[in-house]
Amino acid sequence: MSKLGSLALTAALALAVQARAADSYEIDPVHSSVLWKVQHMGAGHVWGRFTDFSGSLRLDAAAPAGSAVEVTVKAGSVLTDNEKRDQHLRSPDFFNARQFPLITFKSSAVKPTGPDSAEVTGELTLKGVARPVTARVTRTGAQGDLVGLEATLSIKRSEFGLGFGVGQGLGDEVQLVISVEAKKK
Amino acid sequence: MSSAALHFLLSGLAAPAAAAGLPLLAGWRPWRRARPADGRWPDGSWAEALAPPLAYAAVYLATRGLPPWPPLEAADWLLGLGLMAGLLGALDQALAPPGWLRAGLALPALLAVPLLVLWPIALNEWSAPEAAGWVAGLGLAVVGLWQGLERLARRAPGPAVPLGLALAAGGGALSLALSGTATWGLLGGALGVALGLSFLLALLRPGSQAGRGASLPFAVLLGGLGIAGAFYASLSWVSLALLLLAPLAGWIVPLVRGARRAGPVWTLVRTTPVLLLVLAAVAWSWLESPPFG
Repeated sequence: MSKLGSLALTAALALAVQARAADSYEIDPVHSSVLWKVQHMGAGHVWGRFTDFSGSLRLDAAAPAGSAVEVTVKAGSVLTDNEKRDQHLRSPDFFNARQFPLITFKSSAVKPTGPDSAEVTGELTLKGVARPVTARVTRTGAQGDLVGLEATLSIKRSEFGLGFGVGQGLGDEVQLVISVEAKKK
Repeated sequence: MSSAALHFLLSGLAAPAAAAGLPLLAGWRPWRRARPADGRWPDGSWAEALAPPLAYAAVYLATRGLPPWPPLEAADWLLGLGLMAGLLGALDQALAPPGWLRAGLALPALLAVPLLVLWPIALNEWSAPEAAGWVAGLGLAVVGLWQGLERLARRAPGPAVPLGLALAAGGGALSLALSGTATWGLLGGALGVALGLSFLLALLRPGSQAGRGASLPFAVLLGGLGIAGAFYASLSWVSLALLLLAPLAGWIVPLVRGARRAGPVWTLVRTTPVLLLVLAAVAWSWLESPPFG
């Protein structure tokens, strides 16, 4: 999820044509969401979200490659609206949130793919494992000091040490959607 | 059979049974009879020390794959500590070193349990005095568990000792699973499988010194899983205390009725207090566990 946030931020940097060079933004968590879904028993998808996250981005409209995004998500804030499942997700079977309280994303490259879209690559650190990931980011809008971005990406959770249940009814691929509203500092 | 059930049977039962069964069979050699000269059975107490950590390792490999280096989580640290404790326990039973040497080798392994399991919390959340207090206090608890089991196994050996440990490990597995971490529940269950096999083999060796070898790896592994469950999952302190006290309740009947009584009935009588505490621990975990629906 942090990855998504950071991707969104990076995308914002690349896509915010109205922004001046190297404008700094801060994610507004009240108007942003970090969502994920994973397949259950080869049938439906279970959706979850993180409720505690923060992040900042630097948008350079003139040189998008110089833009940057950093996002931090608190692993213990995972929520699926089922107390038992949330307890399990916070446990060492999944996030081990007490030992690894933070999920972080730091962008390393932004590649514009259209007037309102970009690919943002960076390093996602989850449960002590850091791996490169790439997200597709779309600008959803801009108004005054605000910019809206939506990032989507997929990860294999087993690559981050969250392999519980893979092959026994729980999917390995996790799809993330990060919808962000960021405000210029 | 569903893939999840098959995975549980293979990784949670078959793998630890095979890993623990091989050294236990090699140690106790149930196909052999007592020596005609002195009536003694082959002494497999060294194998009792190896069986629990090997069972733990089998479940670890089946559920988590190869361990990372350096170790990251409590389960990773306990893999190494358990194997070390098993080796020390086996050497202790095979060579019978003097007491000071036994203690000198066992204490570092025991005190390392809270230190290595809790270092991430000590580093990120606690002040130095808090960390020292927790590590020292829980270290004393683990050492006390080891000493209590060690003395019990020497004063009143027999099938009741591994049966009591197996019950406590099984209860620990259930409590950990109820507390939100199924993988650690399987790892605790591995100890139960190994100790259950030790109990069954001990039944074939009446009058043997069964139970002496398992105290050190048991204290390291179940103590470590319990501490980890309390700090990283949702195992309650009440359940943890009951689980660590349960095997020591094997002292009650030998103290009251004498240590030399043997036989299946006395084995059951001796383990009844253990069972009651284990049931209380599991019930407490169940009551504290949030409903799924």
